[in-house]
Formats: sequence, structure tokens, C-alpha cells
Amino acid sequence: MTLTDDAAVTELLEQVADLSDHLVFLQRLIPQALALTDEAQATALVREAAALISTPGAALQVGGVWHGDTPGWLRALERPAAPVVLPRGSVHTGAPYTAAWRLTAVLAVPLEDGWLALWGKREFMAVERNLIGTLAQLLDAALRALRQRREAVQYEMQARDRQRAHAVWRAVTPAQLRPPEGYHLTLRSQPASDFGGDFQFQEGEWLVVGDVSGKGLPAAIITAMFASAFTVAARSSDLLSKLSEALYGHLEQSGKFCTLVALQLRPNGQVRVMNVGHPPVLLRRADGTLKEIRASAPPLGTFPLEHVTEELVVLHPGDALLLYSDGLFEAEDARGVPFGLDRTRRLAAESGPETFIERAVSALTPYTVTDDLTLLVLQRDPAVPSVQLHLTGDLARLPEIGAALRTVLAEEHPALMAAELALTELVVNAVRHGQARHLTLRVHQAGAEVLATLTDDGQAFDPRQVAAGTAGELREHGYGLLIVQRCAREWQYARVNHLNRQTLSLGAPAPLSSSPCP
Amino acid sequence: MPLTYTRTGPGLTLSGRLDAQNARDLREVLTEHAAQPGDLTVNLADVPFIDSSALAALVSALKDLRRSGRTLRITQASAPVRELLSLTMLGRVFGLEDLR
Repeated sequence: MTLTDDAAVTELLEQVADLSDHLVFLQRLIPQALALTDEAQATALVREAAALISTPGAALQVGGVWHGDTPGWLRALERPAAPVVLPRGSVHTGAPYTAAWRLTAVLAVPLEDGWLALWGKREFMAVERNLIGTLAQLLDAALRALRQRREAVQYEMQARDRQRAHAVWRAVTPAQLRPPEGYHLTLRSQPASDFGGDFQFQEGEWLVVGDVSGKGLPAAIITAMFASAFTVAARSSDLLSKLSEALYGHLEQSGKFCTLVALQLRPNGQVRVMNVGHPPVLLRRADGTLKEIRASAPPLGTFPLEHVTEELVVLHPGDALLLYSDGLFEAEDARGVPFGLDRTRRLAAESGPETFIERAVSALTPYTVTDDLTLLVLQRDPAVPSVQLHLTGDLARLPEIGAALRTVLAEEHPALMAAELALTELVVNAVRHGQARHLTLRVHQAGAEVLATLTDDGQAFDPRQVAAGTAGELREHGYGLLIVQRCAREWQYARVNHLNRQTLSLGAPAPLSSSPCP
Repeated sequence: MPLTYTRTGPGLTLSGRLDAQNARDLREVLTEHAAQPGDLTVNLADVPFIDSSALAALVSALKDLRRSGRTLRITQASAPVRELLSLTMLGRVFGLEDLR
């Protein structure tokens, strides 16, 4: 065996020993890499590898941040696209590698999200480069796992936050409302995401349904502000201007606007409806006829609220108000054709209040609802006894009025005599003076009073405008309207679709204070 | 509904509904009855319903009678008649006191 051979064997043995060290290192590296909890541990592994291949300099950059002692010249270098050895002298590596005999090569290996560098040796052998390459792959996998674990934690925190926020939002605009006394209420509130811009609140006799423009969190914040303003405004007689006062500034600042319908529901069926920029409210009578209550003011936040016309309606048993948000009629099918208002109206007319929501939801199946969807049905309790009577111009049928009243009122009911008298007077009036030939009377009992709606096809005539004359006067005309005035707690008149419509709340007459004439 | 009445001397007893449909008949009966001398008495105890048209006929008859120094008195009145006379405050005019 020659000296050369000896040297060769020695070198070979050294290499084998190195390789064996490398193997031991790699064996240890795998579980350590898998358990990595931060970049400092990754840096420690890089340093260990550097010690193993006997080079003093090592640094790791992850996500643009250097870990370990990083000399200035290294910071000036760019991440390589592929593993590379920068030969000694090719980079200015600064002290202590400035003297010609100490010049160092730099081994640079890219990572997915950074790179690592080793230096301090004149050259890096293939076996050493392989070891560092393997280390880089392991670090990539470990750092990726670390990143994912961190993202998962963050995501979980965000998800928990959203969940809590959703619960708060749901408490503000509940998925279920309490049915107001005398009404049945059905609600479907389906936000487009965790939060919606559609809302519904309830306070005392008030119920408000609305839609803040946009959706998601920004709309939900405005909704929450609305809810608190509403609670206070509902105690005021002027709900809408109070709401507008509280919110106009915020809406304008955030570039949002809000549509709403405010309903004040009295147990006897009398309802005040105010529509501010919202889609038409559908008033569905028990016989399926529809009336639209359209917006009488632009949405809040567009123009200062000036005047809202309120509509007074009487819901007789079985009558209902149907409310819906634009999520319904703006839903589009596969060809981009919207569900539409016409179809909404048809659906409302064809399906009863009990099935409207169910049928709307199933009709939406082939449509994509991208917005919040809110459907609400308020039906006057159909179990309350009520009667509907159709009359012609034939006065011989007048006794039918009393007979109809007696189907819903007991003989001793305090309003019976007054109601029969007042309604007879109005019917005679419409037939005699308005030439009415088709009259419809709807009546239901409301406590000590009777709520009646009389529609007739006679000439337009508002009997409330006629001076009724005074009681006790010996004359032959004008007693009829005097009687109605004295029996009516409330008396409304409207001309709708070529029909006169009078709505009255009738009760036992209040005693007159003035003394009778002789 | 046709008008149902019975006459006994100066007294006229009406029964059944009195409303816009038979008010004209009521006027005729009252006019006819007023042709005899003296005051007129009308018994409305058996009238289940009366409206302002029938009341107008009674008022018209009263005015006619007053022109010849006579009067029309309602001797008895059912609850609905009292209600109407109370609402219009014409009870005393027809000689009925203490409505309610």
C-alpha cells in the first residue's frame, strides 16, 4: 500500500465518516423539523448543519426577515433562484474574510419563502451542497407547516370573532319576532352572509322592516345603529323624523342609504303604514285582492326627510300585509332574468298569507339569491269573527245589514244598535245620492267597537265633508250623517280604483254635552 | 218590507222596521191619519229598527200638525227608537222625556 493509497483511504474514510455524520444529522433533523414552532429553531438547525460541514457563517431569511447574525454584505445579496455557490472572491464578504488567504465562498440555497446562506470556507463540496439542499427541502416543509398552523389559529380566531359578531347582529335584528296582539306573524330572514343589511325591529305597537344599502359588516353596523335609534324613536309620536334625525348624518358620511316600512299595529286591525323608499307593501284582502302601498318618500340618507304620507288601513280578519326585500324580486335565474315584481304580486294574490313565504322560497329554487332575503307576513287573526256582505242598490235588502252584524255580534253588544244605524245610513246615502249599485260591507268586532269597511261604486263622494247639522233641530234632512258622526270613533274616506271606501270604527254614541232644543 | 200599522182612534201603532225603503209609505199613513182632528199619538214599541228616513217622515208630520196648532206624540218607543231619538236629540220634541 503506497502513501498515496493510504492518503486516499484516509480521505475516503473521512468522507464516509462525514457521510455517516450527515446521515445521523439528517435522522435527527426530520423529527426536529416537524416539531418546529418558530424561525429561531429553524435558524438553530441551519447553524448545526453549518457546524457539521465546518463552516462558521450561517443565516436564514424567512418572509423577508433575517434570523441569526447577518453581516451587512449578506443583506445586500438577493435571494437566488436556484442553489448556487458564489466562488471565493466573487463577492465582497467583508471582515474577517478580506485577506486573500481567507477569502470565502458563499453557498446560497433558496427556500419557498426566503433563503439560507452559509459562508466561511474556501469551497463547498458536492456532498456538503447536497446536505444543505436536503436541509432546505426539510425546512421548506417545516416552515410551510408552521405557516399553515399559524394561519389556522388566526382563521379560527377570526371565525370565532365573526361568530360572536353574528350572534350580536342576530340579537339586534332577530330571526323571529313576537306576533303583535291580534295578528299572525311569519318571518323569513336570510342574510347573504353572516351579516345582513336587511333588518326588522319591534317595539310596542311598532314594527319596522328595512334594508341598509350594501351587505355584510358595513351594513350590519348601520343596522345596529338603526336598532338603538329605533328603540328611542318608537316612543315618540313622530317615529320617522326621529329616526332620520339620528341617522341621516351617519348614512350620508358612509355613503349609505336605507329603505324602510314602519307599521303601527293596533290590536283592532287598524294599521298605520309608512313606506320610505321600500318596495311596495302588498295589502292582501282575505278574498285575494291586492293593493299596493308604495313608497311616499325617498330612502333615508338620500334626501333630508321632509314628508311621509302615512296610509291608514284596516285589516279585517284574514287580511294581510306582505313585505319583502329586493333579495326576492332581484334574484336572477341562470339566464339572468330577474324574479320580478309582477311575479311577486301574482304569488301574493294566488297563495294565502299562510303559504306565501313557503311558496316564494320554493319558487326561488331555480334562482340565485345574491342579496339578503327577508319575507314577512302579518295577517290579522282570521279566527276573529267577521262578515262580508254584498249589497245592490235595492233598499229592500237593508235588513240584511242588521242580520250580518248579528252573525258577529251578540244581541247585547254595546255597538250593535249604533253600528246598524250608522251603516244603514251610509248605505242609503250611497244608493240614493251616489247611485251606487254594488256595495260591499266588511265588519268585525274589536272589543266594545265594531270596525267596518264600506266600499261602493257610486259617484265620488266624501260624506265626512258634509255639514251634518245639529242635533235637536226640527228639520227633515241631515240626520243621517249626524248619526254616523256620533257613532263613529274614527271615520276615514278614500277614493280607490273608482270606488268610495269608508272605514269606520263604530261604538255606542257618546252622550252629547249640549242641552236639547225644545 | 211593507209597513204594518193599526189605528185606534187618535192612536197609530206601527210595527216592523221603519227605514228608507218604506219611509214614503210611512209619510202617507201619517198624512192620512192626521186628517182626523186632534193630536196624533204614535206607538213605536214594536219597531225593531228605525233610520233617519223614517225619522224625517215623523218630523215632517209633526211640522204639518204644528201648523194647525196640533202635535205628534210618541207614546211608547222600543230601544232602537230611543237610541235614534237620543242620537238626534229629538225625544222631547215628540213628547218623550228621560231618554236613558
